[in-house]
Amino acid sequence: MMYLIAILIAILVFVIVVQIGKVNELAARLRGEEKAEHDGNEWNARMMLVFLVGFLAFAVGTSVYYYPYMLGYGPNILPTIHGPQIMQLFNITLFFTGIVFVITHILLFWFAYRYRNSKDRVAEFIPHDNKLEIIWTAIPAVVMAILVVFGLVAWNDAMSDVDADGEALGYVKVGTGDVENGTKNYIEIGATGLQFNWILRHPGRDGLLGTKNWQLITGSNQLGQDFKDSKNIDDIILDELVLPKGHTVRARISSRDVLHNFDIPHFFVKMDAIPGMPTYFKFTPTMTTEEYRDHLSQFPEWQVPADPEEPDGPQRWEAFNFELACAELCGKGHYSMRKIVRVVTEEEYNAWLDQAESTSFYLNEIRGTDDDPFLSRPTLQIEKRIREREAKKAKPAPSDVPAPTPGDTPAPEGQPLEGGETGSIQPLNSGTVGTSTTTTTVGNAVQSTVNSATITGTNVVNSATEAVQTGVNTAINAVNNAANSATNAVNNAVETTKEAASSAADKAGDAIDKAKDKAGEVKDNLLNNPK
Amino acid sequence: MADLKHNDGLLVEEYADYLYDGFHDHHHGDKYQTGFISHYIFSMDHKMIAKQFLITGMFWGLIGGLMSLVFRLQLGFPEASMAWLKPLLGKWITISEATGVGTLDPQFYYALVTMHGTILVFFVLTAGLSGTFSNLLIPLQLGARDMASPFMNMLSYWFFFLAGAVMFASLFLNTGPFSGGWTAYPPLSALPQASSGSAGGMTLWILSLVLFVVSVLLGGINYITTVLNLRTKGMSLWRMPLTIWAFFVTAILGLLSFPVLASGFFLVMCDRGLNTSFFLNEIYVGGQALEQVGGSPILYQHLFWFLGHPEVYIIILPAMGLVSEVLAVNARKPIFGYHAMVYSIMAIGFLSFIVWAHHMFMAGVNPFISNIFVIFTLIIAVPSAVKVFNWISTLYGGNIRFNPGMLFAIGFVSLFISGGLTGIFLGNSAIDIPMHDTYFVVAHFHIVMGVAAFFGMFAGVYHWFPKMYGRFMNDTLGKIHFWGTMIGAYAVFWPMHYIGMAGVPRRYYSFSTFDFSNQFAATNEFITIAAIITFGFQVIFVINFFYSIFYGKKQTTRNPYGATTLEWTTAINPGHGNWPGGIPAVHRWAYDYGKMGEEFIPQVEPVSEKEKEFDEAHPH
Amino acid sequence: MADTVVHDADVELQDEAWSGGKKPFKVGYGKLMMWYFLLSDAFTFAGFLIAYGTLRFSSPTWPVPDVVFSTAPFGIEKWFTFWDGQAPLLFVTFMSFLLIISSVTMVRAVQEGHRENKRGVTYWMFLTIIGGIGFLSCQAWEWSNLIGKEHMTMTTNPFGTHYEGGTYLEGDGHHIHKDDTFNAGDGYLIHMHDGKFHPLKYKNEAGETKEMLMGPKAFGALFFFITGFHGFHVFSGVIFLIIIMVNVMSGLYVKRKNGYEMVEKVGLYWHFVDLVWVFVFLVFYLL
Repeated sequence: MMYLIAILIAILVFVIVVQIGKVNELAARLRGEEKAEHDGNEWNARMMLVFLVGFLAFAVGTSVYYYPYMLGYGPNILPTIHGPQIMQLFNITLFFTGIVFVITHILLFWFAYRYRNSKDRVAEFIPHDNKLEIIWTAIPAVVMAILVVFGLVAWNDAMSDVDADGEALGYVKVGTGDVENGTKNYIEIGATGLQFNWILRHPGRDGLLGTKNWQLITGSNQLGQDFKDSKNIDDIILDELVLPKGHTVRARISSRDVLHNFDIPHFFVKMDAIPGMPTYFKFTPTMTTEEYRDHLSQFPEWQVPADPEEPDGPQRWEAFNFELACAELCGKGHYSMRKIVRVVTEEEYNAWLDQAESTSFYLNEIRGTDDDPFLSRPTLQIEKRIREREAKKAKPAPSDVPAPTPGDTPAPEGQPLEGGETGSIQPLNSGTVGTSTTTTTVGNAVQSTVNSATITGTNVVNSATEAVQTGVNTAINAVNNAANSATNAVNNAVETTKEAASSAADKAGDAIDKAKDKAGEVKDNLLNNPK
Repeated sequence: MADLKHNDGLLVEEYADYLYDGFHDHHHGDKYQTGFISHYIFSMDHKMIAKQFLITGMFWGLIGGLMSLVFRLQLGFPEASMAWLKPLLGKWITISEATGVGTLDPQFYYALVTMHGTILVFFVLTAGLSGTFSNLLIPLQLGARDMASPFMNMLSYWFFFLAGAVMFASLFLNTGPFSGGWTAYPPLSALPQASSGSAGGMTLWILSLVLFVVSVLLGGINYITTVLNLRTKGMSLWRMPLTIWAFFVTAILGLLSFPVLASGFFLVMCDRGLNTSFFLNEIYVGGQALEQVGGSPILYQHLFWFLGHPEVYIIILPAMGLVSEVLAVNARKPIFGYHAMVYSIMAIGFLSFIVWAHHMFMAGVNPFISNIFVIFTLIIAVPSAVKVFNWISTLYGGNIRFNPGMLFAIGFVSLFISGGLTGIFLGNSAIDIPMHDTYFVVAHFHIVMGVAAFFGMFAGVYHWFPKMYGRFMNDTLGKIHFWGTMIGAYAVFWPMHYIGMAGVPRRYYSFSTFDFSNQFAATNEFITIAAIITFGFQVIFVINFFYSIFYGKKQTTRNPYGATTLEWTTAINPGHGNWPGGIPAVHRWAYDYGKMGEEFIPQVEPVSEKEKEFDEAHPH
Repeated sequence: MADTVVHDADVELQDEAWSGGKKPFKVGYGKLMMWYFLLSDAFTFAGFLIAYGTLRFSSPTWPVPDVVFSTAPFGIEKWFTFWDGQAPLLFVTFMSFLLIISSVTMVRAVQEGHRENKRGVTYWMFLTIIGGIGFLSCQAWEWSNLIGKEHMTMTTNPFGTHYEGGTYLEGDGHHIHKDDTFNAGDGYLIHMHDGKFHPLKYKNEAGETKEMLMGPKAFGALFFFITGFHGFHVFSGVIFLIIIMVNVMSGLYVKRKNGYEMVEKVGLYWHFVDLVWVFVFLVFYLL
C-alpha cells in the first residue's frame, strides 16, 4: 500500500515539474522572448550577489559555530609536542588559502553580476595579458614554496624515529620528563590491530617488546608471542593505554590481519598498521588526562552532563578521555575499534607499572605450564620483584633490601649474552638476597654448555678485576650487579643451549671452581687492600 | 561575406574554404546504419555513442546517488527504523523482533559506500563525462567525419555497458557486493575470510573494472588518434578549442595510467585465487595463520594510486574544458589566456603522474620519499590556480548570459576554488597526519569531484543538448536545478570539513562508539536532509532531460548561442558524416568574441584585410 | 569577396604538418593506434616489473638465476661436464636468441611488403611464426621442467639462497654431496622425493646444525605470472601473424590503398613483444 502511494507521489512530482517547466516557457513566450531572457538574466545576476553574501556568511558562520569542535581550536588544545607545530602550519595555510578563497569568490560573483548581459554593450576583447599570467603564476608558486618549507620541517620532525642512542625504558625517571622536547629515552608500546579491536602491549620494566610470530597465534596467545624470547616475560597486555606525561612514546604498530590505522585524534597520532611490517609513530604527551579535563572544565559546553539521560551523572569534562580509533577501512567493524588512552604523571605511571606487572600474560598464562620455556628456572626477576612488593605491602617497615628504585634500569631480564660483557658469576657471600638463588642456579648452570660457562668464567675474572679498580663501594655495587647479571647470564646460558649436558657439566664445574677461586682472591684482595 | 557569421541555412560549399575528402562519394551514406539495431543499439556514429554514454552514465548516477542516500540515512538517523527498505534490500536489513526497528547491516553499509565510490568515479565521471563529451565534440569541433575508428568506438561503449552489467549483477550476490572501499586495499580485498564482500563480490568487481579499463583504452586510443590525424584543414593544434585540449590530455593520461591499475588488479586476483603473496604477508585471519609471506600491501597502494591520482585529473580536466568553452560563449569574450590555459592543462597532466603517493603519506612509506611527493603536489596547485584566475578574468568585461549551462560553469569555478584550496592542506604531509582518512578528505574530494566535476558535466549537457537532440532543455527547470544544487551541495559537504577537523575518521558506520565523534548528531541530520533535498533537485534534471528530448523547445537556427566553433556549422540534426559536402576549413582560433565590435566571428570565416591590421596591432 | 579575404600568414596554405587536414606523423590512424596500444601495454608490463622489483629487493634472499635456470631439454646440460653438468642460463639465452631472430625476420617481411613482394612477405612471415612457436615451445619446456621436475609453483619455491657459509651434512643425490662447502650467496635447489621436499641439513661456520630453507614464495608467483602474461602476448602475436599471413597469401593487401600496412602493424606488435622479453629477461635472469 505504502509503495503504491510512493509511486503515485513520484508520478505527481513528475507532472508538477513538467508543468512548471511548460508554464514558464509559455509565460516567457507571452512576455516576449527577449524580455523574458532579460528578466531571467537580471534575476540570476542578482542571485549571484545574494549567493556570494550568503555563502561567505555561511563559511564564516559555520567556522564560528564549529570552532569549539575542531582539534587545535577553542577548548581542544593539542597535548603533544608535535601537535601545535602542525597546527601552526595549518593556520599559515589557512591564512593564505583564506585570502584566496575570499578574493576569488568576491571577484567571481561580482563580475558575474557586474557584467551581466546588456543589449547596448559588446564584451571587451581581451584575449590575454601575459604580464598578469606571470604575476599570478609567480605568486602562488612563492606561496606554495613557503608552505612546502614549513611543511617539510614539520613533517620530518613529526615522523622522525627515536634517537639511535635512545634507550627503551619500562619505568621512567621521575622529573626527567621534558614536555617541550621529549626525552631521549623512550617507552615503546606495541599496538596490534585486528578485526575488530586493538591489542595494546606494554614492554614491562625492561622496556623491550618481545618477539611475536603470527604462526604462534592461538586463542589464548592472541599476539603469537614467542615466549622463548625472554623479553616477553614481562610484557603486559593492556586494557587501556597508560602513558607518562613528558616522556617520548614510540608506538610500534602492526596488524594481525588486514590494514588498520592507529589513530589518536587528540594527539595528532596516525599511522597505518600493516600485517608483517611494523610501522612506528613517535610522540610525547604534554598533558595528563586530569590536566586536560581541568582545562576543559572551564568551557561551558563541557560543563553539561556527559549522558543527557543522566543529569546527575558526571559532566562531560569529567568523563573525557583520549581515545584510540582505527582509521583505515578494515571490514564491517571498522567503526568500533575503541581503546582509551590515559596520560598520567610520572609517579602515577611507575606506580601503575608496578601493579600492572603482575598481570603479565606470561606470568598468568604460561608460567609453570608445559609450554613454559623457563620452567627450569625457579624464580624470575619479575617474580622476585612482585614477591618483594607484596611482602612490603604486608609488612610496611622498610626491609634490608632496598626496593628497586624507579630510577634504576634493572638489567633487562631478556638481555642476551653478547660477547660476555656482563657475565660474572659471583657465588660467594656478596651479601645480596639473591645469593642462595645464585647458588642454586649455578648448580643448574652445570647443565649449560662448555662455551658459555668458559666465557662466563673468564668474564668473571675480568669484571671482578674491573670492580676492584673502581673502588670499594663501586666494587660492592658492581658485585651486586654482577650477581644479578650472573643470574641473567646463567639463565640465558640455560635458555639458549639445552644440549651437550654431560661434557658441559664437567667443564662447567671446572670453570666455576676456577671462578670461585679467582673471585675469592679478588674479594680477599679487596678486603685486605681497600683503595 | 557579412552574413557568414550568422551562417543560418548556408550550405557548406558557400564557405570560403573547405576540405574535400571524398567522404560522400561512397553512397553508403544513404543506407548507413538505418535499421533500429544498427542505428540505436550497435551504432558506430560518434554522436549516438555519445548519447549512449550519457544515458548510461545518468542511470548509474542515479543508482550511485540513491546508494548515498541510504547510507546517509544510516548516518543521519541511526536510531530510525529502516524496515521500510527491507523489500528492496532484503537480508541486509535486520528487523529486531522486539522493537520492529530495522537496522542496516554494517557489512552492507560498507558495500554501499564502496559501490557509491566505484560507480560514481568510474562509470559516471569517467565514462559518463569523458565518454560522452569526447565522443560528441571531438569530431564535431575538429571538423572530422567521425572518430578514427568508429568500430572501436562502438566497442568502447559496449565494453563499458558490459562492465556495468557485471557490476550490477554483483549487487545481488548472497555474500554481498564488494565492500572494501573503492580503493580495494588488500589484504582486506584479497581475503574472503576478512569480509564477506571480498568473496564473489570482489571477483565480479575486478572483472567489471578490467572490462572498464578495456573500454577506456579503446576510447582513449581513438580520441588521441582522431585529434592528431583528423583535424580539418587549418585546424592547427593552437586553434583547437580548449575542450579538445582537455579531452586530448585526458585520453593520454588514461592510456598510460589505467594499465597499471589493471596490473595491480591482476596481481590481486592471483592473491585471491592462486594463494600467491604479492600483497600478503604474515596474516592470521579466520582463526588461521595464512601461509602467504613476503608480499607488501604497500605495493598495491603504489600500483593503485599510480592510476588513482591521474584518474581524478581524468575526471576534472574534461569538466574544465567544457567550462572554459561555456564561459567564453556565454560571456561573449575569448577565454582569457588561451595559451596559458593550454600549458596549464599540459602541466596538470604531466604533474599528475608524479604525485600519487600523497594518498599514502600515512601508509608506512618511508617519510623521506613523502617529501618529494609534497613538493610536486603543491606545485600542481599552481597551474590549477592559473586556470581559476583565467576563468574569472574571462568574466571581467564580458556580456554575460545566464542560461543554465553558464550558471553551472560559474558554479564550477566556485566549487573548484573551494575544493581545490582544501587540497593544499591535505597535500602538505604534516597536515595530513591529523587529516588523513577523516571527513576533511571526504569534504575535499566530494566538492572537487562530486560537485565541481558534475557541474562541468551539467554545463556540458545543458549547453550541447541542442546539438544532441535538436531541442533545448527547459530554462526555468535548469535554473531551479542549478540554484538548488549549488546551495544544497555546499550544505551537504561544507560541514564535513569541521567534522574532519574534529578527528572523525571516514567510512564509519556509526558515530556513537567514540566520544569525539558522538557530538555530531545534529550535523549529520542536517547533512542527510540536505543530501536528500539536493538529490531531489537532480531528479528535476533527469525529468527535464528526458522530457526535452521529445517535447523541448525546438532549435530553429544552426547556431543559437552565436558560438564560433565548428559544431555549430553543421545542420541542426547532423547526419552521418556531420557535413553534407566538404568539411569547412578553419582560419582562426575558437575565441573571436567581441573582436573589433563584432559579437562573434566563427572559426570558419577567413581573415579580412582590416582584421589583419588589427591582429598586427594586437598580437595574441 | 575574394579580394577582401586574406589568409592568415602563419598557417593554411603553408602545408605544415600540424595545420590540420593532414597527418602530422605521416602515419595512418591504424598504425598510430597500434603505437598507443603498445604504449599502454608497456605500462601494464611496467607495473608488473615494478612489482617484481619491489618484492625482490624487500626479500632478504632471492634465488640465484644461474642455479634456477641451469637445465636444457634432452639433458643437454649434462654435456657441460666442466660446469658440473649444469648449463646456467644457456637455454634461456637460446630462447631469447630465437625471439630476436624472429624480430629480424619480421623486419624482412615488412621490407618485402614495401616492395609489394607477396611471396617474400609470406616467406619471411612464415619464418617469424616458426620463431614465435619455437619460443613458445621453449617456454613451455621451461615451465614443465620447473613445475614437473623441480616442483616450483606459484606458491612454492624450492630455489633458495644461502645467507651464510657452511658445509653440507648430507648429499641430495644430484649436484650436492656430503661435506661440500658453500658460501653466503650461493644458490641451491631443494629436491623432492616421494612427494615431499627434502631440505638438506648443514653445519654453519658457528658449528650450528641447520636445515636449508625454501626460497621466497614470491619468486614462483612472479616468474610464472610475468612470463605467463608475456607468453600470452607471444601466443596472441603468433595467432595474429598466422591470420595476417593467410590474408597476405590470399592477396587481400595487393589492392589496398595502404598496401601491406597491416603487416607493419603486426610487426610493431611483434617487436613490442620482443622488447618486453628483453626487459623481462634482464629483470628476471640478470638482476
